[in-house]
Amino acid sequence: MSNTTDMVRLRDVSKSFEEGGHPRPVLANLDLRAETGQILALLGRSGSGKSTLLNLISGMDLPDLGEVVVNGTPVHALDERSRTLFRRREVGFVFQFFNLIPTLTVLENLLLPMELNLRTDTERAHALLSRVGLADRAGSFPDRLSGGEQQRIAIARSLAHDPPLLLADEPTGNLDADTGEQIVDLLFGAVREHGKTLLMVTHSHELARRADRALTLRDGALVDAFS
Amino acid sequence: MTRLLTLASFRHLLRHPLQLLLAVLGISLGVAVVVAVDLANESARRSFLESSELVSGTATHTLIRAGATLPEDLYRGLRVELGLRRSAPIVEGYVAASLRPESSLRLIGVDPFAEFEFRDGDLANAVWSADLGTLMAQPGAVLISAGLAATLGVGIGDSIDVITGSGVRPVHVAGLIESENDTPQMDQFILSDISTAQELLGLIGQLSRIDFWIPADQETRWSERMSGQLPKGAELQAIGTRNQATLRLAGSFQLNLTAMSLLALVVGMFLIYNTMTFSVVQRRPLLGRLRALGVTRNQLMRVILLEALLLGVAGTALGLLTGIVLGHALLGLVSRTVGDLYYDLSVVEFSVPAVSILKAIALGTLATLAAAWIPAREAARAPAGAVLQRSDLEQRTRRMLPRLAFAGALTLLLATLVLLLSGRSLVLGFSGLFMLILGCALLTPATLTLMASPVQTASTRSFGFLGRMASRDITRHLSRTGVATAALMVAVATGIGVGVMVDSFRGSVAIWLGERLNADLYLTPVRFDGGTHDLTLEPAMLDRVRAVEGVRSVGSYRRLPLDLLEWPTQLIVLKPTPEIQTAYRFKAARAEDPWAAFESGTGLMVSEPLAYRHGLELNDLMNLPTPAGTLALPITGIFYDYGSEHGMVLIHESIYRRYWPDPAMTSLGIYGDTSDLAALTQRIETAVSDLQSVSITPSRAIREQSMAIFDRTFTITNVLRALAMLVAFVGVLSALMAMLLDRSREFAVLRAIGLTPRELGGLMSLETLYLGASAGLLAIPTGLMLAWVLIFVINRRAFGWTMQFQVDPSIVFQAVVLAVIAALLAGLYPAWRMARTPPSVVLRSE
Repeated sequence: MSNTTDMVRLRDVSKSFEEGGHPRPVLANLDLRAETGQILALLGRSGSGKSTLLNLISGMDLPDLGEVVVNGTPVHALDERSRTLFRRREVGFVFQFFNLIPTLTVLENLLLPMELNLRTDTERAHALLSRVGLADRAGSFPDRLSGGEQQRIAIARSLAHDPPLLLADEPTGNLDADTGEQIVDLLFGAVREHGKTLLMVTHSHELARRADRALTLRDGALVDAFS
Repeated sequence: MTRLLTLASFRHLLRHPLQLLLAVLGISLGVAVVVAVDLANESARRSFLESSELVSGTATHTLIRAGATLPEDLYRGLRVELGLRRSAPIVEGYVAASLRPESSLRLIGVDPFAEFEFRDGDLANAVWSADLGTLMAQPGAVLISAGLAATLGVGIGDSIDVITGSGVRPVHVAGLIESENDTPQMDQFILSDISTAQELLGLIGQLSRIDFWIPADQETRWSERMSGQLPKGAELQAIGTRNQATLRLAGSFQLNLTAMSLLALVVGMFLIYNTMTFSVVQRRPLLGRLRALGVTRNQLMRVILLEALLLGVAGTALGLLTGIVLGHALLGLVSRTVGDLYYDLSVVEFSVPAVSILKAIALGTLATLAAAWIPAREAARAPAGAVLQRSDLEQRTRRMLPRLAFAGALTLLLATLVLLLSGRSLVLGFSGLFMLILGCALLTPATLTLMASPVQTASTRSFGFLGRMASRDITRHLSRTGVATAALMVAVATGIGVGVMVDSFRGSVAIWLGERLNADLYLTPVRFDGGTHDLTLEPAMLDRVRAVEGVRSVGSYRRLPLDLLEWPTQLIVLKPTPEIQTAYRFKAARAEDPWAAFESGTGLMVSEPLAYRHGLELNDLMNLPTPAGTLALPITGIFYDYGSEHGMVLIHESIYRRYWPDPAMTSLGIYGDTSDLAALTQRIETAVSDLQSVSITPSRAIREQSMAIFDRTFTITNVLRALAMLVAFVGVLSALMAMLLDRSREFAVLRAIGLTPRELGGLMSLETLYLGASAGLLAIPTGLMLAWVLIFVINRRAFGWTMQFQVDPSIVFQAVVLAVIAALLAGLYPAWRMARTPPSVVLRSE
């Protein structure tokens, strides 16, 4: 566990992708700091590298250059297996398209990250379901739920194994405005309640204003969104 | 492994029941074919050994003389003078009941007192339990099993007419063989006193063999003590060794069957690979989510392998049951062929030994795991972020194309090296064959890509925008189409390869039969079935036939078994007339007349299989074991022969008479100067009717009979080939259906933007048509290469034969058509389903 107040620290990070045989730079000498307990919104147009940034922070991808330190762990220096285990313990995900496991029930979706961390707690799972208002859907499969309901389950799942860091990639992108509002209330509320750090990618400036801090990814670097 | 991880994965399988069923079916068919062949081969082997053990009982050794009998007084000398008390003489041969002339019976004549002192076995015990007074005193008294008695409808005290080499003779049932085991093997025997057997078989004063009980550590000592008393050519053999040598006769045939069955399993493995790959591809989003949640690569790999293992277990279990049923059906074909060509196998009992079951279980599950290994690794190796994007998969596949093509080319090169440098090794030959198949399969995706442009042009021209879409989709979804096409290609190529091999073989045999059987008629002793029993003609037969009006010339043949270079072969004795000489086509012969040395008795000839097996060349000196000692003669000719893979040695009749105490002939080849063969046959039958029962057959009939045996032999191969195609069909059905169903969303979008159900069906049909046609076309060069290897490597090494490479275009055409039909059929269900389902339903779901 880190002794500093930074949950996430990116230093001089660069990343590019091969497209048609040519490298396309996505992130260039990027610096980022997110303090523990902070809600940080990331804005930017499509293709600006927001999801790439989340992938680097979660350990799903490696930077070409630079350092990625999360909760004191130098993620950029870990091998693939260690990054996977790091992600398992330290990160909770909320995706735009929910990405629940379709062949597990709602309850089982929550239990899965707990089981991966060898800390199965059915009571906690039920409690989280109640917190998101879906206690009566524990036995349902995801394809029986509406988009909003699935996203609420996804939020509960992201908290199930008590990770210090939550990453949300356009959590309201696939929802109508009202439902999206509810989801954000739920997400922010849960984050505050449990003292988590949240990095959230969004297109919505209104949503970004609700965060503690908002940054825009432009030309591979981060700038304050509303300065 | 976490319970929920396993659960998530298995529920996916259960949600695609048709795919699951087809995968299990593919595995089970492959396993069933392997099990069936193994059980048929094993049953034939065990039946032979059981039959042998019934007779030999506790005897450990036997004294025999190749191509001859032993004098009766030898037994007295060995037993009394040398003191070998635990010994028993045997006279045996083949007869048939006149009520059932088509089935031969093994007549065994024993000395009851010697049997009692020496042997413990079912038949020996049966003899001692019988009415010995009647058995020994009454002429023609015999014992038969209760089963045989029931079949013939006789009882104790009744008479049976038996057909022997010297005519029909009556025997009397003195008792029934009672055995604890009550095995049907007993029904093939007739037991008698030794003198009765000698009379019936025309072996007065002679013995077929003498059995002993000798401890293993004393074998050498007794063999040395005996050697001074033994006639030339007599040899003491361990019974177990002799049995194994006999079983080896059919070794190559059974090995080839096993290899064919393994080919079916390899096709099955391809299908498992197919199914698991598609299953992984279908679940890429799911796998990506799991990786994002922190599931490690090893965990994912273990889950996929566990799935494959369960599929393998289910498929193997089903395959085992199916294989037992199929093995029962194949047994008749296998045992008939073994009996026709290799050794006596009158009664075959179907058995399912535990070791065969264990082998099948191990093979089925290991084959499944091996086939699932690459898809499991593929599932595990994809980066967590990338698996969430479908397009990335196809990009990766296209990037891998050069590597796949290189691997394919390298594998083909290795296959070539293995085939060229592996000498005579049959196992390495098969390894090279399988590497050839693998190499061609690896090249398939790259070849599909190369074919894309011309196919697209032609398709657009022929079918408009549907044609353009269908042809583009082949390369757009290469991660799936490549595997499906490769699997179908392998199966069709196997069909072409085996078909061309069998056809080439048949053509070569047909030509050879036409050359070799150039006499008008062939006269032989009456045979009871197509077996390999040694029967001879009366010495006066030759002159009697020569004197018949209309007979221009007669060639005489003697055929007898010969143990040469520790290998069972045949000795053919003949006096070559000019007509007989033209019947032999030489692979290698002395530049001057090869028959000159042969006729002067200063040379011999060998068949190609014998020369190949022992590395013999022209002018090599051969040492023949004869009753009068070793005979050394140079090889003056090596001739083509497909009559026996064990080979033949040809010597002149004059040499034979000098070294073997045997004036008999096995058959006569009759050349007539009349076209009315029926009348000639009648005249010959009349002329020899008082000598012995004979069979006079026109060469045309023998050719037809021989080709019928050939076709029967290859029925098994054709059955296995059909099964391999069935396995492939099931797999391709599964693969193509999965591929199309996985694109439901894409097709629903096409429906939404205006494609009619009919047009969508047309699109799917065109895609599967192109896949099938591509697989069929690619199968042609692969299949022809396979055929080349089967003919010039596998068959050559297994049997020593040279065959003409012959390609019947209909075989190739049929295979390609089959590929197209299989692919088209595979598209029917998805097209039907998409036509029925409103696009809104598909688009609404995740």
